[in-house]
Order: sequence, then C-alpha cells, then structure tokens
Amino acid sequence: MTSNSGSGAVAWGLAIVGSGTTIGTETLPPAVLAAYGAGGVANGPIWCTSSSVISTCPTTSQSTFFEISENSFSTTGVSFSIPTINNGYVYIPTSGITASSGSSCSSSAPCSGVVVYSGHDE
Amino acid sequence: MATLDGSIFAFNAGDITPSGGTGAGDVVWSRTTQTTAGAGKTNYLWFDDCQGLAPGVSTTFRKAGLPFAGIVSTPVIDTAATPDPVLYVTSLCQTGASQSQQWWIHQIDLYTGYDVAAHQEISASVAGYDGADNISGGNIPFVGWQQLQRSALLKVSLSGASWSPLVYFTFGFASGGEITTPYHGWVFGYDSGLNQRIAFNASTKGYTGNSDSPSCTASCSECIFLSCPPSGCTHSPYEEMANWCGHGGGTWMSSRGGAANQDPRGTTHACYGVGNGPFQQNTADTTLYNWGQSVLDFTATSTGFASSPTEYFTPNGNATGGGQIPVTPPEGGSAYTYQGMNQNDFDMAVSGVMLYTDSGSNQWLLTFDKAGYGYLLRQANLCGDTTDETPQCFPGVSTGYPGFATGDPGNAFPLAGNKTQCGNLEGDTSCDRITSLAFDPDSSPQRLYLWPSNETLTSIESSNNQAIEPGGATIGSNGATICGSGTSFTTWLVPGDALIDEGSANSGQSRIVTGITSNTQITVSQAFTTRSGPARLWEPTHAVAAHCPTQWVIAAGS
Repeated sequence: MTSNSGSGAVAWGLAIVGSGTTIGTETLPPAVLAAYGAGGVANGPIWCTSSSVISTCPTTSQSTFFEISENSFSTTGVSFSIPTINNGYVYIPTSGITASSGSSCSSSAPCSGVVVYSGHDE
Repeated sequence: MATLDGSIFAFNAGDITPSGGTGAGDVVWSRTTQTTAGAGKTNYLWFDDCQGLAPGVSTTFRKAGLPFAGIVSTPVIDTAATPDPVLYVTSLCQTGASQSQQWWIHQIDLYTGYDVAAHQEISASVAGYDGADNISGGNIPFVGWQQLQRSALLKVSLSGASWSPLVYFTFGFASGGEITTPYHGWVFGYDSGLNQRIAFNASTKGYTGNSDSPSCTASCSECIFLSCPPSGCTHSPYEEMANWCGHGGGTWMSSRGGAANQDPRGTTHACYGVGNGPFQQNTADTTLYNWGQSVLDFTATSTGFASSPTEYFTPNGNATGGGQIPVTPPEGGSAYTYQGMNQNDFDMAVSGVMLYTDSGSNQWLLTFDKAGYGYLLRQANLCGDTTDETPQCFPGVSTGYPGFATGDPGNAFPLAGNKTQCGNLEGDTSCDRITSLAFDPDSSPQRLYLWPSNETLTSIESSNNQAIEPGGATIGSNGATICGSGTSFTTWLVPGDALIDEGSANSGQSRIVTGITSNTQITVSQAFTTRSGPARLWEPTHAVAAHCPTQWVIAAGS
C-alpha cells in the first residue's frame, strides 16, 4: 500500500503469470505489475504493465507511469517477490534484463537486476 | 538490493528521470568483489563467510547445479542505529557440493557497506527428545545444510529495553527437501551486537517413547527419509507422514517476514507462521515440543524477552466440514486439522502474517494457509483471552471447524464461498495461494488486499484478485464482537463470560442473563428477551468472545 501523505491510497501487486521461457537451466516466468486505486479491485487497475494479462488494464494510463531504463528487459518475475515503492518510484526485481550498457546481458543470457518505474514527470 | 550470489548493492534512490539530480540512480556502494580474505570491505558476503574459499555447486538445494551461495531472504534496516543506520542480512556460505553450508548474519553500515560488528556464524544446540531429527546426546544442533533462511528478517524495538533491538529470523527448508532432509524449524533472535539471544526449535520431540497427544508411532519412524508408508506401518495417515514428530515445523511464508506490534500493556509481539510439521501437546503438563501448522507469538517487554512462544494458534477442524463454515474436506474425507494440513501440504501462513487495526480499534492478525483458508486472530490474544496469555489453543475440545479451538471458537473464514477448494497442492494450480497481504486503513470501508501468486498460474483472472471488506460484524461498547444486531444475533461465549442486557428496560442497569461455564454458542432472539419493543443491545461481557467469520464480504475484482 502507498499513499500521498495519507491520501490517494494505491495497492500494488506483482504477480508471476504463465509458464515462462526456459533459458539454460532456468525458467523465467513473465510477471505483471498492477496498481489499484481507492475503489479497490472491483474497479479494476488504475495502471498495470500488461493489458494482455489483465484485460482491464487501462492502456491510456501508461503515460502516468513510465519505465526508467535505457536497457531492454522483459517483465520477468522472481517468485514470491513484491514491489518496493518510495517517492514515486516502483522498484521490482527481475531476471530478464536482456541488454544493459557496460554488461554482457543478452536475450540468451539475461541478467538479474532491478527495473524502476516512475510516476515523476520526465 | 541483495542477491543470491552474495552481492549487496546500495543505489541512490533520488530522482532518476533525465531532469533528476546528480548521482541519482548510481550505485553508492556494493559488496561484489573478490578480495584477499580479511582485507576487503567490499567483497561478496560469502567471500568472508567462506574465508576465501570458492563457492561450491549445490546438490542439496532445490535448484541443484547452481552456484548457490548468497542471500536468500530480505534484509532488514535499523534506521535508529548510531552512528549510522545498519542493515541486518543473513548469508549462506557453501564450499562444497553438498552438506557444506553454513549460515551467517551480518550487520552492515548502510552508508558505507562495511560490516559493523563481526559477522557471526549461526549455530545452536537445544534439548531434544525421543529421537528427534539429528538428536545426539540429548541435544539437537543447528545443521546449516539442512536449513533454508527464506523468510524476511524482522527487527523489533522497544524504548528503554536493554535487549532492543532484536532481529528475528527463521529457518525452514526448500520444497521437496522437507520430506527427504532431517530439518527443523528454527527461530533466532540476535541483538545489535550480533549476540544470539533466542534459538528456538519448533520440532524437538521424535517418535521413540513419545506419549504426547496426538500420538506418534514408533514403528512408523522409519518413514522419515523413505517412501511412506513403510512396510508394517498401518497407522492413521497423519502418523505415517514423513513430517510428523521431531521433524519439520519450518517457516517460509512465501518469503514474507514476521510481523510485530506493541500491545497497550507495552509488550511487543513478534509473530510467525509455522508450516508443515508435527503439532503435539504433553498430556500431563500441556507443554509443547512440536509446534507445526501454527501461528507463534514471541513476546518481549522492557525487562526481557521470551525465548519460546508465549502464545500460539493452531487450526483444528473435523472430518466432515459443512455446517457453519463451508468447508469441503480436502482429501477424501480427511479431517481439516493440523494433522490433515500436514498430510496435504497445507502449510500454515503461506501468506505471511499481517497485523492491522480496524476502524473499531481492534488489532487483528490475518494469515492464510496454503489451502486458501484465512485465519483472523486477535493480536496479543491468539487464543481468545486478553487476560490470560497461557497457551490454550490445544484442540482438546474442538468445535469441529478449521480455526476453531478451545477458548477461541471462531477464527477461520473461507477465502470465498464459491472458490474452488484446493485439493492436494502438488501440481494443483486451480486453487488460490494467497502470498501477499495488504491493508488500506483509510478507505471506506477499510479494505484488505489478498494477492494470490502461483508459480504456475497461467493467467490473472478476475477471481484471483480479491478485496475483502469487513461487514456484518459490529463491535459492542465493551469491545465484544457481535454477529448480528438488535434482538437477533449469534455469538460465542467462553468461560467467565456473562451475557448482559444493557437495554433501557432495566433503566440503564446491566443485568446478567446467564453465566457461562464452557464454550457456548448462543443465538439471542426476540424470544430470549423478556420484553417486546425496540431492539436492545445484548453483549457478552468478555471483550473477545466472538468473531464473525461468515459475515465478511468478499468482493471479486475485475
């Protein structure tokens, strides 16, 4: 749960979905990050990373949160992990970074790391 | 960010947008180098823990073949530490292929990344009985290769207490290994000097000569580490389970940490859930040696702390289900009890435990087992009595439904009336496993969020996102929970309670209607009263006599 000085509560969830892709000895499951507003889940998410996973994910809201990364990644989940949120940023662990400056990350050998989403103006 | 390869990274969490500040997003410090033993302060934690030896490749942990040496659980930060805030983190050293793991605890300066106190290897030896796993000379040692420190660390502080802060963390073992590996559930507590203060073992009594209740059977002891049941073992199914008696009782809670709060009397409560494992009570003195499938509460006051649970809650249902709680027996009519939970891999508290205070100032503990049943417990009162913290949850007098135990006649509620009941969970992806919990205290009505997460979930469906809103139950003026209202309601009373008519017919004077000598469910209706007219308020005098498990409204998401 997050809020802005006690108002505007948002419930965040990070879920593993699907069977994923096997690379080497590891299976990397896709994940979805979703946010629900004051109306609760009955009103659907106010923002999420995949409308193909959550059908009610509002595609028009993507601009309100954007990915902070110059790298390429797939939203690859880490089992039982939860998002960390602070000061308008959402941090999620991933093992699916396929490109990163100064590293050898690739689609065949993805790296682990943190993906950051921002609600700040760019 | 802590990783399985033993690294820790500290990032500048400032504004990392292109217009942000200098250094935002940069790595402030990291523990990611291999340096000469003892010389470096920026090395991998395992490098110090293994004293420079190269990490081995695991053959004993779940993902055999990986260089598994590092940090599994989520660390905890003490922002009040001086001169700098510190990070507590457990780390694994593995120097060989198998059975060569040691666990360590580190205290790291959050500003520099350097260890503050010298890291300590986690070790312990506690009294054991009746042939429990690993017992030797009457003691059970902590054996690192048999354990997995998966649940997040928990820091508990109390102003003025010499022990404060205490950092709690727990051990269990990885899925699959719990059947074939002689492990125990352990709870540790370390102080700010990394001195071990608590070493608790949740399964210290084995089969041989064990006369506690429910029973263990010596002839089934060979079941451990072998296929079950062994030849000649013809006892009840739960007794034939490899996890029974002197084995297991670990905590994993989907990697969530314990939860802590301070009650109005100033006592801190650190609460954990214990999964598969035995639960038994000594019939003579009610002592527990096996604590499986329970919620445990480790208390501390300004003058000291408890080294074993002060109170606990253990579900106990019956074989048929039905009735008040819409329970479908999970496996071929087997009982929904702690025995049945263990038999069917229904770990207690896979959701973690969440503490929250509702709008009526009631302090709750909420947790879910792996079959999808939730348990709503009173904080500091897991068994239903605020005046007596003596453990009283042993289900000697069961009312016949999960979560119902002596002294606490109503703690469980199903995830939803129309949900598919989990069967045997191995390979079952259709049921809900609640692995995340959250509470929004400011919404109206207040709202709980439950997030089912399943490694093999194929999609997020509408029914997999739930909000439950407390509804129906009202809180009386003395704090009692009343199911229903007016002249018709159902409630439970425990010994010592009395039902009081506070209606105007008595000119405002309370009147004792009946005294209670045993756990009793009553339904008060108009016929029970002696007068007609407006609804009057009937309340049990005891503040915690009742819960209203069937009166929660569960709203499906979209």
